[in-house]
Amino acid sequence: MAAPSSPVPGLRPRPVPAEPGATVPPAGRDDALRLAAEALRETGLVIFTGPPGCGRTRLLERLCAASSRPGHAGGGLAMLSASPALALERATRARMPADDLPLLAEAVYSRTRGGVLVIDDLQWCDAATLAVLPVLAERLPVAAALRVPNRVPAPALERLLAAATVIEVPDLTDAEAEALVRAAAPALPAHRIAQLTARGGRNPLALTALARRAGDLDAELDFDAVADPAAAAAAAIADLPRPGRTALAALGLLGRPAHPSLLGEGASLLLEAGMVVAEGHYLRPASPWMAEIAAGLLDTAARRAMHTHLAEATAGLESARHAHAAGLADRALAAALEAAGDPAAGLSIKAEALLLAAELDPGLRVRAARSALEAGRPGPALAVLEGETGPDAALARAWAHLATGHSAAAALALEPIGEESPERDQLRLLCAPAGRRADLAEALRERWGAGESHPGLAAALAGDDPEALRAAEALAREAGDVTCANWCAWNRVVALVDTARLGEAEQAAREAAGRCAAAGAYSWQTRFLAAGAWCLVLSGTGLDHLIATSQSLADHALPAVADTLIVAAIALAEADTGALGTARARLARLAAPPGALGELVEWLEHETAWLDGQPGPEAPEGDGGLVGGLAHITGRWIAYDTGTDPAETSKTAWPAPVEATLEAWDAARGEAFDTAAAAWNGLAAREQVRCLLALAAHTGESRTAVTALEEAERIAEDHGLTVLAGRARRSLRRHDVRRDRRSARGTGGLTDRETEVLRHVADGHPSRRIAEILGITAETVETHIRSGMRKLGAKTRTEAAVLLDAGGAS
Amino acid sequence: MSEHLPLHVVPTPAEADAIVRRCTAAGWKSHRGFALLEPAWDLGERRLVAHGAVTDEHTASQAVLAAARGAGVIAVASGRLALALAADLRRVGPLGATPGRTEPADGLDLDLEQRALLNRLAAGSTIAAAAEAEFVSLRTANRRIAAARSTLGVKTTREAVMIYIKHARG
Repeated sequence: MAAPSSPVPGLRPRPVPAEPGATVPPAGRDDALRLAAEALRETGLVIFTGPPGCGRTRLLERLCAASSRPGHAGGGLAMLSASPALALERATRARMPADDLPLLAEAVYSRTRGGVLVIDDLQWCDAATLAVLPVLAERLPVAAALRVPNRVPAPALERLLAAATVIEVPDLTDAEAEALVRAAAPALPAHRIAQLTARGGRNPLALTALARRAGDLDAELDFDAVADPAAAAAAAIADLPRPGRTALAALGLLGRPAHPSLLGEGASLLLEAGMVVAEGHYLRPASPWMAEIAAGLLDTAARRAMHTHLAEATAGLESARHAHAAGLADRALAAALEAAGDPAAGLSIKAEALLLAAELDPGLRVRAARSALEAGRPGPALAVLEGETGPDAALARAWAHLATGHSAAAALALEPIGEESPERDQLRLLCAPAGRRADLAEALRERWGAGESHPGLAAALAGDDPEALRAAEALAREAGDVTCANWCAWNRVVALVDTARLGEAEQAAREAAGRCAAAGAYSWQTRFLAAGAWCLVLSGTGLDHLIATSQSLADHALPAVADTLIVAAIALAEADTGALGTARARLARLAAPPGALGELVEWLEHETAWLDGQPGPEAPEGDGGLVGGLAHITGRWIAYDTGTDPAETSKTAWPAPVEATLEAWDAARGEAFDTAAAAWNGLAAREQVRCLLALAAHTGESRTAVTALEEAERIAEDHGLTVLAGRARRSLRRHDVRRDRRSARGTGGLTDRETEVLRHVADGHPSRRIAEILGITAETVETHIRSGMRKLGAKTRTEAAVLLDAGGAS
Repeated sequence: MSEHLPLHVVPTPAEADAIVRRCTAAGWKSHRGFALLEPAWDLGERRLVAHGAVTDEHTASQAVLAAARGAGVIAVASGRLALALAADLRRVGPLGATPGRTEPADGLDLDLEQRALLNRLAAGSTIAAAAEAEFVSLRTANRRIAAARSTLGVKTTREAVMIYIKHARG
């Protein structure tokens, strides 16, 4: 396509309103109000214009409220647009003589003299109202609002606008948009607000509507519920001229910016109305939500016709989807197969295309499932294999179960396969429980010989040796077996974590994630990203930053393993940084973790409970690997804190630092913990701190204990491990080392400490947890709360929190 | 106008009747049908609430006119017509207001009973004291507070009180 000369080819630029004293567009809503108030100081006519839902009415209300004169508010109504002078009757609260203009003007003036006449929704006003407003504006201030687009006859509109100061309602600023969403949904976290403002655009109606139903993002739009703001938006869209409505609906069905040629004549209409925004050569809806509603409003036949049109106008997978939605099976199948065969397509696109094709042609199911597995999407793979039999389907099903972390289900899926094949044996080995793996591997080595060339089986036989896995991965990649290569990379990351080589594991995960991103295997990518985040949390690196970045990953719909891992990573980071309530609630929401991660989640539940000062009665049990080891260490702490006997530790081969720590616990001598702490140094800050705490608890010498605790406090504070730092401070106090935190009086006679404690109270934390975080005893917390309440004159803690907030606000 | 007009569009006559009953209990006069033949244009002082089924455009426009003139409107309607009617009524005043139950416009989805309880808690009452002062049982008070917590998406009552108070102030 030749480079177009205008920024948006095929469209005329948005017309500038041609009236005397044409205004520069105001910078913000406050600016718009100021302009309007200036223009209306004595007499005059101000008209706010803008697209549906942009907040014209609200601006009129604010203008009226800010004026010292009494307001007379009226306006057109859609159903009564033919009713003469109704807008003025509403403003004057009396019958008006509509057939005689001078008389009408006189009648309105006599009732509104000294005030401001406010007429909303000019688009539904009758000819008499429109004609009389300029006349009235010569004698008193008139503020009005007009929706663009509208069907007001051109001559009447020109006359009206010529006499008026036209102010286009400016877009909401980021801060205004955020404030609006916050007002409608106060408990919404910040990242969700950003999502909402992106979907709603800068449109107040859309933002409010979305915020109200923020509970579930994917809730269907319900046009039949009259209380739903979506219905109001729908009514506004229904008033658009037909081409505009169609173009907006097309944008909604596409779900992405589109070239104006795709939208037809409606494009210029929408651009004029400010409902789409030019972005390079493309148009994007100013409020994607409005476009979704426009699409939702189409009836079945119109929707089908539009999908047919879009199927022709788009290419590849998108075309296939629209053809499918239009009910054109043959065409959808052809387009999907073409999209899947495109060598430039990424793995995700290919999988999507084949899954769509398999829906139309059952013969493609196994192929689609394999492709979905390559893209790392076992869920859809399982779904498409539903009811499919035969060895190929069984193999694919086993892979899918394995990918969701359900080894037992995978083993079951393998059973019906009679013939022996390297792939089946590879899977058998991968599904086998840890204890039986070595025997099985031996048997398989015998059967297939040492120089097995099947890359998958070679990988499986590599077991959990990181170097062998790396070689197997390269082999698989060479052979073009993407699924197998990703599995090797994954097993390598897991193996590295299990042997407590967190730094290497994180690096391996990051590299693998980069490779998957380049290949378009986004599900695999998320899995590796989650694993990387988990490694960073365990090592205690950049926790606050990590919570923020991981949260955006966790907001996406992720495959089960990645989802569990990322939630676990965030929860541990939150717990370590002091947000124990949030962390425990997050873990409680993890209903059924995949089998492979069950042990990890169980450890985390015990760990967060322990950090929260509520250690569970039973210690977690782990068998093998780093997480299993950590579970045992937590078990020792729980036993130490509750004064019970720890669970017996089986003599498994633990990673070296775990081994050192457990030995130190068994020996219960201070020096042994010194070795253990050194082993964790640079690997996992939180475990290093815990070893130092244990050292202080077990040593007989006060000076050694104090040194260790000061070291622990410093490391914990450096890494943002709030709770462990609090524990170190409390132990220091036991050794008569006090951090002097008695300080200047803060607001209203409260000490800073009382204010600090009461702020935690206001956040809903129990005293026990506040004590943990601040490193003081719960009794001290209670004392601070009591004296704070006495000083504030509060009868309850809630009242104290309210009063403190009021004092801080004023 | 200190009190919002009762403006409702509901799907069934039974719901309409319930709202009409509440309006008449609050001192409004009910009027069957939407054609109001009063000589004066402004009906604001008359405290009239018009109710009935809306099945065609003409009746719908009559209902909208009644609302514009200051009468309450409780319409039984469905489908497109209900949407169009609701859209126009919303331009006259907020939908869903019922006399005696005016709701503050702070954007929080809490009803008056919940607000009353939260106010008492913020002022230093215990839940038991707040329940007694509001003439409800302790069980009811706890139920309403729990509903407020889940509406505001928080885990503790104290957080709910804080959010509510911040909004009431702001």
